[in-house]
Amino acid sequence: MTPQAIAAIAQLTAQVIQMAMTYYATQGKIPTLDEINANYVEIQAMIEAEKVK
Amino acid sequence: MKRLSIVMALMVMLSLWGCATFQDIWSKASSEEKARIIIYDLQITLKGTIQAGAAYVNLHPEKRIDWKAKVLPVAELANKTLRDYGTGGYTYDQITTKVAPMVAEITSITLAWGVAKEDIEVNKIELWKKLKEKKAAKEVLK
Repeated sequence: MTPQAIAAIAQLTAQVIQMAMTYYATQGKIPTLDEINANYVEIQAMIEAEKVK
Repeated sequence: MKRLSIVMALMVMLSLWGCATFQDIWSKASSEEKARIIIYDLQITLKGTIQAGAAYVNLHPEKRIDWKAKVLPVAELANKTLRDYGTGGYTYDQITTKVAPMVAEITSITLAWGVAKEDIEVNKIELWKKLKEKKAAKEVLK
């Protein structure tokens, strides 16, 4: 494994932990699949609204 | 000065406690639960980026053609791919390796136009704030 690959994995791991900490600090619980689906619907509605502008 | 030192010490203790609690939760979470946390966060990032881009395009209509042709299709694909995790279409590893570059592409296009990175971050912070308020409101209703 090259030093660049190791650095990239380390960076990704740090980002993942950072993301998870942000989530946990805000929500304090594990998101459900229903919540993920609700986000999907909301984002899709935003995209559809932008398409027709 | 003494009071400030006490406050600082308390803040350090609280943040250490918070990290320890988080580390505990994170280490106990299954890989499926960790996946849901990361996917949820990617959705918030996507949402914040679309909001910042849409606000920019409203102010710069000359970018609307590119917005529709280059950004929205990628955003739509990223959104559907994230949803597909829940429906079993992809594994967590496939999702992160597929979606992270899509979100990065959208961000880099909009940043190249002149959308401020701070705007995207502000949107994300606002979205997290709203989620926190929503959660607090739900707890009050319980």
